Amino acid sequence: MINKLLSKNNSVLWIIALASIIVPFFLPNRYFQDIAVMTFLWAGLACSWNLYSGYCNRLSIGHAAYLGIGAYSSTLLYVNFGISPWIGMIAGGAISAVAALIIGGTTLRLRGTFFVLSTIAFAEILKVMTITSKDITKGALGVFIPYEPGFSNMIWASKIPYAFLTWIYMIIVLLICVKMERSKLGYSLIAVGENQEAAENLGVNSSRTMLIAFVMSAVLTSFGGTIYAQYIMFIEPTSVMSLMNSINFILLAITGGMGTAFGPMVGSFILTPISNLLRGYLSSVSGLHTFVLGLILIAILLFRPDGILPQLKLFFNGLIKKSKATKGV
Amino acid sequence: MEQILQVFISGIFSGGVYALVSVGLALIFGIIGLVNFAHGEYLMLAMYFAYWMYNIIGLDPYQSLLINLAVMAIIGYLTYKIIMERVLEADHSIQIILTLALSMVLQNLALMLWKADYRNIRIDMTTDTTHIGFLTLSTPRVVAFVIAIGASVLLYMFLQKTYTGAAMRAVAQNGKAAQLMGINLKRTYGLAFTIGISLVGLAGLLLSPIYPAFPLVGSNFSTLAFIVVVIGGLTSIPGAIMGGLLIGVVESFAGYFAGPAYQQAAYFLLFILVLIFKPNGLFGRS
Amino acid sequence: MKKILPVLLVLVLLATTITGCGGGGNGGEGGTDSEPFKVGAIYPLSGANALLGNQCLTAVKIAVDMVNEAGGVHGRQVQLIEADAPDPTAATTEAGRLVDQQGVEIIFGSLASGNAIAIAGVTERTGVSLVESGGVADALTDSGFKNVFRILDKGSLRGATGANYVGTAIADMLGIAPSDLRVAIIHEESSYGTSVADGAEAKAIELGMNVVAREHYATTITDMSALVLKINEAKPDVLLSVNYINDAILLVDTLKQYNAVPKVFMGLGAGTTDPNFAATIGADSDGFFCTDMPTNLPLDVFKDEEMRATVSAFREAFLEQYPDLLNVSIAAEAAFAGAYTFMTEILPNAETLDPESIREAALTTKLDMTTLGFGWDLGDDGQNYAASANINQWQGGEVVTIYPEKLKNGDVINVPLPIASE
Repeated sequence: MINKLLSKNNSVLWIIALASIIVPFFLPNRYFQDIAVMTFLWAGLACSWNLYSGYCNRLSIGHAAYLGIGAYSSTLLYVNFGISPWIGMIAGGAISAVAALIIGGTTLRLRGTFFVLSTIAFAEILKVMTITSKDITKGALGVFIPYEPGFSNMIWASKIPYAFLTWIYMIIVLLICVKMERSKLGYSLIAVGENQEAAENLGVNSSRTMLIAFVMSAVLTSFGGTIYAQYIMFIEPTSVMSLMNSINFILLAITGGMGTAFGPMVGSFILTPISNLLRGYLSSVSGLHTFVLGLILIAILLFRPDGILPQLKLFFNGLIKKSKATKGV
Repeated sequence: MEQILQVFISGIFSGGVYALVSVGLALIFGIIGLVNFAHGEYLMLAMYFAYWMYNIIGLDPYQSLLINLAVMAIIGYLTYKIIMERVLEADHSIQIILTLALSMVLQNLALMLWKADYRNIRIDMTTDTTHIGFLTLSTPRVVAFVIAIGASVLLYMFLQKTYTGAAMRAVAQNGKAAQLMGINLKRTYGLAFTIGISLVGLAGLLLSPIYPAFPLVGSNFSTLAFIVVVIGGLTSIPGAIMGGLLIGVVESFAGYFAGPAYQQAAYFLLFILVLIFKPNGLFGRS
Repeated sequence: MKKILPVLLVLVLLATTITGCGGGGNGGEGGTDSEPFKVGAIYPLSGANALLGNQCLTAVKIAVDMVNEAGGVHGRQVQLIEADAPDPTAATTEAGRLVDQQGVEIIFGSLASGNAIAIAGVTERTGVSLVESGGVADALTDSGFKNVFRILDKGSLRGATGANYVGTAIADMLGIAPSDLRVAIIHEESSYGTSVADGAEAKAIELGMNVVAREHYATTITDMSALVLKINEAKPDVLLSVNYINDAILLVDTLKQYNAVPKVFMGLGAGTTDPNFAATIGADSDGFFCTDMPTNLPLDVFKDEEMRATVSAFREAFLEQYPDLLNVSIAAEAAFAGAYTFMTEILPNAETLDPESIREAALTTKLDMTTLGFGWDLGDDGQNYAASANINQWQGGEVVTIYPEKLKNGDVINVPLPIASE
């Protein structure tokens, strides 16, 4: 059923995705614009994660590592050598690609849960390395990016340019996902995800397929890491490469629908504003906002494990059918 | 040389507790096939319960052991009935994320109800040391080790020597076949989960004279338990025991030679090496 | 049932937008006399630092209550808006919420230096003041921020003060020349521990002491055996240690267990200054040093009657909320001092309540004394150079101030520690 929905009606989702850039302009103040920026950024990040983990159903719970590589690469180059983050972003991507090749090469062939655990392990090792390499990364003290607005610095005073940047990031990742879905790589990947043995019997080189997707996913996540650093203007190992961030990728993807190009976008559009608003308005009781978020997630997982997206598609399908029906009469 | 032995011994004792946490997980994963990332949170709950028993009623953790186990068993069973039973057939991915969400809920529930304060149980034994030759051993850690290993061995005997245990092993091997032999799957799953949670609760209880209860105390143990279980061979109980001890020792040596900053990273590295070279675990069946 | 979810979704999105448009306007300026003066408090109320974060928030609330009882600020009642920031990203968003959505004019924070730096980014671009009473990282005032005003000492100063005392007074007492003195440095691995340890190490090296070991650990550590055995190999005379309360207790327990207690234990906050430290360790804690901001000063240190009454009232109000605590934690004392001093001493000196006037008042006001036990004298970088770290020592379950001279209320005991090894 999911596959049937995949082919049609992406147009509606594209409209939503493209139109969403208008939203920041209508938000009343910078606080909401900030949430919009984070929503677009996490949509892009979650879609990047989904590129590998969603389509072949192998969870990486260590993607914060690539977020960290991207953030630290561009930031250290910028702060130490004055290199523009646009270039630093590419450098970060290159480093992430190498890391993903090494990590992927060794762990992709592992079965389900083993692979998941290995991703956690790698992320944790990277975090420890970042903290202990104090001379290069400043360790736990973190790196602070001085405020010098300018396009080449990827720093702006207003949130609107950031909103554009993160929105473009999201769109680019979406484009890559949609293109990949329909390509041979995509079909192979989904096939491997459904049944690895069967796919291999049909001639799919599963290790090559997975590796390519894994590296792409890491690189795209890394780009997001650079944007993240240039937006928050302060990075430290424990908050960037945290398990919470790694989990966030998964939460957004699964809320919207893993393994569909637009699923993580929908997930972020729903969850990012909700979690920020929950934290903002439920701060009076410690821990209440995360508690509620957890409950929402459990509810989604128990009652709608395919995510919200299939629901949305049915809803829109229903609308379209209705209008067609009335036309016919 | 004496130092090395000391480092080794203290690692073994930590490892005993890790082993206990992990056998519960191995049981749950082996028999039910369920990935439980909220495992450590039950350790946290048990520690809080031990604290209340001590603070309000005045029973130290060893005295309240049986009540604590009973309470953890009930909580475990309720978790199984309300949440886990629904996702038995679901993808592992769903289970992983569900249990991650569950751990978020439990951690923050503890924070909401009991605040972030550290709840220490300091009994006379807490700072006691036992000396064997030149070796110094922390008494509560020795006690924890003995009880932890004892419980793990008991579990192993239960699985090998009793009918229910055999039923569990049968379910672990082939659920459908076991069903055809008249074994009630759901009930077996429920029992396995309950026992698994009770064991990690016991681990928490054993830790409470040494370490305080607070909402996040369990989070490290969840990840660690998985690593132990994988190194031990995923479903093997003796494997989990050996794995726990190994991790304790590795952690201790890494801390001593490289520095405490690398303690965790060391066993993560070991984990990856095992995954690459011996994916069935160091002690599992090949 | 299938239709409900999409509808729910739309409703959620609508609700979000409506709250956005409806709730509170844009950042306010000035305001009439009857309008409340909005201030914000951003602390980690969940996550790893929730314990101290909540205490700090309580302290700030008490300060606001006291100020309002006395008539408010510039005739306006103060309205406190709180926010939870478990990490710097949340701190950024919450600072944005407080400033852009709620219109606060001042933010009190942050406990964690990472949060402080993130909030500083927001306050800098909006002109709101950040009154910092928790984060010690040097970078906060070394980075050119114009609107950050830090009442407490820099991490490097705290570490240096402790190391300096070791290299001078303690070396004397032990009868060991500084160049022969062996010191080991242990710290928890977050930016707090790192900042203070860096300062201590630099000073120790400057004074010619032998830094025989430096180790850091994750705050979630459950067994310090390896750490203690490793440090003990290097046979240090003095241990300089930066910990939070939980790991401080674990460390001391483990040191005792392996008979590895050094001749002198110089704690560099925050765990060793925590009221629970001595209460948990017991009589063995006598003689442990704790370098930190002044803490639990006896009331007669405050020459001013009014200030004495304020400190006393604050402690009472705080302990009412935390009946299990023996004394107010130092983080809370600092949070109170920052908020109270700023509202009662700085703001009245500001001509109006706009950012420029507030900044002017903050930089030009000089105070001899605040409720923290030292004065207020900001440099252009926003750092309070009157802030000092005290050398304290646990004696009989109480914190006794040893240094500086003007606050000294006891003599040093137990050097070397009676429970020291060999």
